[in-house]
Amino acid sequence: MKRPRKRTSFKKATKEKDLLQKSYEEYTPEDLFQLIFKPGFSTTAVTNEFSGRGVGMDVVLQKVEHLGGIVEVDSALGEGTTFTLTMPVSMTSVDSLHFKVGDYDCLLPIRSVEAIHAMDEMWDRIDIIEGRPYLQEKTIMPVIRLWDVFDLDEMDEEYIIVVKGINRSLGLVVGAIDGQITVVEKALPDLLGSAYRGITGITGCAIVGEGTLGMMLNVDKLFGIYQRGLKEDE
Amino acid sequence: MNDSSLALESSILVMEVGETRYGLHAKRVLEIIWDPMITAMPKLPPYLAGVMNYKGAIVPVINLHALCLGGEGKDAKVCILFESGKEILAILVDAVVEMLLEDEIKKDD
Repeated sequence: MKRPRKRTSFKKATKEKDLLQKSYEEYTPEDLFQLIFKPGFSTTAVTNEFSGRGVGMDVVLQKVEHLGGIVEVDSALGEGTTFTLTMPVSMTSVDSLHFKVGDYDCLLPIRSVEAIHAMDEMWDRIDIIEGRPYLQEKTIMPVIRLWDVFDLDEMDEEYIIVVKGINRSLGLVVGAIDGQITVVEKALPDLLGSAYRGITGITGCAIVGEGTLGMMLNVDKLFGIYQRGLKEDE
Repeated sequence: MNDSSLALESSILVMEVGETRYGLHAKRVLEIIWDPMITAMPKLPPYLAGVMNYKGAIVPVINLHALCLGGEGKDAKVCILFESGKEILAILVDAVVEMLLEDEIKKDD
């Protein structure tokens, strides 16, 4: 039984689009595979308004290369074709500590985390000075309850995370700790601009679960919130 | 059907918020999602439902019901993603009504 012809041959397609600079037989298979990525190249005999126009693979290559990656093709007649997309590990992938503040998933870069303590064991190392809590570690550092920053109701104080910014430390009181996670940090949309970052300490988002986004906190922004709090009290 | 892209060019997606109907140029619409995964964020005004991940970009989600009518906008459950300049925005509306094709659109003066 003869199938209806839906494809033109690769050879014919290269000639139709005038892509060859020497005779077809002089090309190595690897060179020929590269023609797949030429704009306008298609082996489909039947096109519609969306597909078969020779756009897709050109776009794939452009996008992957834009991200610093490469696309490799290997093909054997009658067996199949393998496309290998190799992408660089993003510079924005961050090893992070994943924890909860109320229902919010929060993240801190591991590099800014110095220690994690269970709150139960820390009470005798926390002093209240002028109405504000301070933690005694190697130095004395201010303690921030993150639900105060986020305007949430008071909740169980489970852990205190000692974090280090530029030349200063902070104790952050948080809820449950979910563990360490490597995430790709994404910028916040423009609609949540620097004012929002300044009042929440959130500078980015990252996928932490299926469809769930975690909020990346910045220690120096949190320190700014603490200092503004001091000024408001004066 | 070669002119279908042309028809899309001038079509309008009609949506409903409360009793009011709004239109959005269909060519700007990227996707309609009936069960969007929205992540709430702290300290947002009531009309901002949070953010969502759309193909790797963090997109703010605006609750059009809360923005136009006040309240929490709990009736707004359908999410429409569209392009606004270089940004992608998501809006929550009560319902998507229909697509109006060009020849069905009558402009009121």
